[in-house]
Amino acid sequence: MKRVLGAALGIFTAIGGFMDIGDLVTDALIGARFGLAMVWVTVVAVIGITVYSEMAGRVATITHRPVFDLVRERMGARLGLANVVVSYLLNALTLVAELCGVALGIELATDVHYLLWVPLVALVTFFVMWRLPFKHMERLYGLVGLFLFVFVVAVWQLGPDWGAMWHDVTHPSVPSGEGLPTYLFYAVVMLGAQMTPYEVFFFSSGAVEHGWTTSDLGQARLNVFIGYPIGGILAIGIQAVAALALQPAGVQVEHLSQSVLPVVMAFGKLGLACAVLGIVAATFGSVLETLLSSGYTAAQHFGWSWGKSVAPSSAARFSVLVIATLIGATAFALTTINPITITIYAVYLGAASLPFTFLPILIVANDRRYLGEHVNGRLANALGVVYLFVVSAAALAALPLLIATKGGL
Amino acid sequence: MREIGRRGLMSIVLVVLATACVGPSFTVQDYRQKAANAAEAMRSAVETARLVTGAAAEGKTPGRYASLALSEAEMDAGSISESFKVVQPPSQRLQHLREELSAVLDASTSALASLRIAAYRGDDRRLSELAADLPRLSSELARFEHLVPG
Repeated sequence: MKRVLGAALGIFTAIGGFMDIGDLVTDALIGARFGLAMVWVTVVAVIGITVYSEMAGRVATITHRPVFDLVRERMGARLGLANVVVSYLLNALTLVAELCGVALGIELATDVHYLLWVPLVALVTFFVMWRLPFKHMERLYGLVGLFLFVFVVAVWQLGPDWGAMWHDVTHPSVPSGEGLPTYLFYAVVMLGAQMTPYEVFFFSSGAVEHGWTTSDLGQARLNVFIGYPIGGILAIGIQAVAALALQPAGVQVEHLSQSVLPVVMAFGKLGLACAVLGIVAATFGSVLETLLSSGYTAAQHFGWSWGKSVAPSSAARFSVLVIATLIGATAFALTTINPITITIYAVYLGAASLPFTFLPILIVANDRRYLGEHVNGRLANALGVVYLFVVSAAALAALPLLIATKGGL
Repeated sequence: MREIGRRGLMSIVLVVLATACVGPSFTVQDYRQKAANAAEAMRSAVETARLVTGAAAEGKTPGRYASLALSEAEMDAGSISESFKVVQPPSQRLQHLREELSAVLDASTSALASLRIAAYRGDDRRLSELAADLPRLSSELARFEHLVPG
C-alpha cells in the first residue's frame, strides 16, 4: 500500500511539474489562434520529453552521477563548458519568466500589480529552498498543481461539438488568415514550451538527490511514462478551452487573465480559484526547478559539491550561485520588462537549444562503461535519433521563422 | 576568424532588431495591412471585455478579476490606438481611412476605460449598461479587418 501511494505521489508530482508559465501562456495563445490544429505538436513533444527524461533519469540512477558531470567527462571540458553556459543562461531566463508567472497568478486573485509580488515570491522561494526537504518541496507544488485540471473539466462544461473537435485534432490545417510560416513558428514555440531542457536536468539531478538505485528504475519510468502524458492532456485541455471560448470571439491571448477566462465562463468564481491555485503552485514549482537547475548545471560541470539535500556550508559555491541567480532574476523581472514576452522568448530559445541538451544524453545513454546492461535498447535509440533530428530541424528553422513572421505576427 | 564571427553575430542582432521595429508605411498595401492589424487587435480587446462583462452579468467573476481583465484590455487598447495613429498614411486617399479607423479605436479605448472604472467601483448595473455598446464596436472593427485579403 505504501509503495502504491509512493508511486502515485511520484506520478502526481510529474504531472504538476510538467506545467509551467510557458505552457500556460502558449497553450492558451495557440488554442485561441489556431484552435486544435497544434494538438499534434503536444503529442510529439510529450513523447520526446518522455524519451529523453527516461534516458537522463536512467543514467543518473545507474551511475549515481547526473548528466552534466558525465557530459564533461565524456565530451571534454571545452564542449561541456559551452553546453553549461547555454543551459545556465536559458535556465536563468526561464526563471525570470516563472517568477513573473507566480506573481501574475497572485495578481489574478488580488488585482495588486504583479511587480509588487515578485520580491515576495523570491523571498518565499529562498525560505522553501532552504527549509523544506526536497521530497516535500516536490510533492507540495506537484499536488496543488493538479488544480489545473479545472481546465480539462471546463472542456465538458463548455459543451463542445466532440465530433468537430476530433476532426480538428485529426485533420490539422492552417486556419484561414494565417500563413504557413506563422503556423510553423508557433509549432516551434509550442515544442519549446513542452520540451523544456530544465525538466531533463531537474529529473536527472532529482534522481541523485533522491538517492535512487537500480531498484527505483521502475518508479522513475512510471513517473515519466504516466506523469508526462497526463501533463500533456492538461496542456491539450488548456488549448481546447481557449479554442472553444476565445477563438470564436477573435480574442488574441496576451495576458494570464485571458488564459483563465474560459474557466471563469465555465465555473465562475470557484473555477477561477482552482485555476489560480493551480497556476501559482505549478509556476512556483517551476521557479524552484529552474533555480535549482541553474545551480546543478554549473556545479556538476565544475565538479563542485552540490544538492538541495546537502548543507549549504558543505556546498558553498553551489549555494552562492543559486542565491546570486535568484537575486539576478528578481532584479531582471523588476525592470518592468513584459513577462509574457520574456516567456515566449524563453520557450523559443529553449526550442533552439534542445539539440545541445539531447545529444550528450543520447551519447552517454549508449555508453556501456557507464550503464553496463542498462544502455539504450533499440526502441530508445530509434526514438532518440528521430527526436534529435526533429529538435535539430526546429532549432535550425527557429531564427528564419522568427524573422519571416516578425516574431509570429 | 574571430572578426568574422563577431560580424556574423552583429548581422544577426541587426536583422532581429530591424524586424522588431515598426517602421513607417511606404505603400498603400502596407498601410492597409497595418490598419487591418490594428482593428483586429482592438477587436480582441473589445471581445475580451465582452466575455468578461458577460460572465460578470451572470455573477461568475469576482470584482477584482473583472477589474484586472478590463484594465489590461484598456491598456492594450491605448497602445494599439497610439501605435496606429503615429503611422504616416502614404497618400491623401488613405487619410480618410486613418480618420475613420482612429475614431473607432478612440471610441473603443474610451468604452473600455469606462468599463474598467465601473468594474473597479463594483457597479454591476453600470457595467451591464456600458457593455451593451461592445457588440457595435466589435462589428465596426471587424469591417476594417477585411481591408486586406485574408
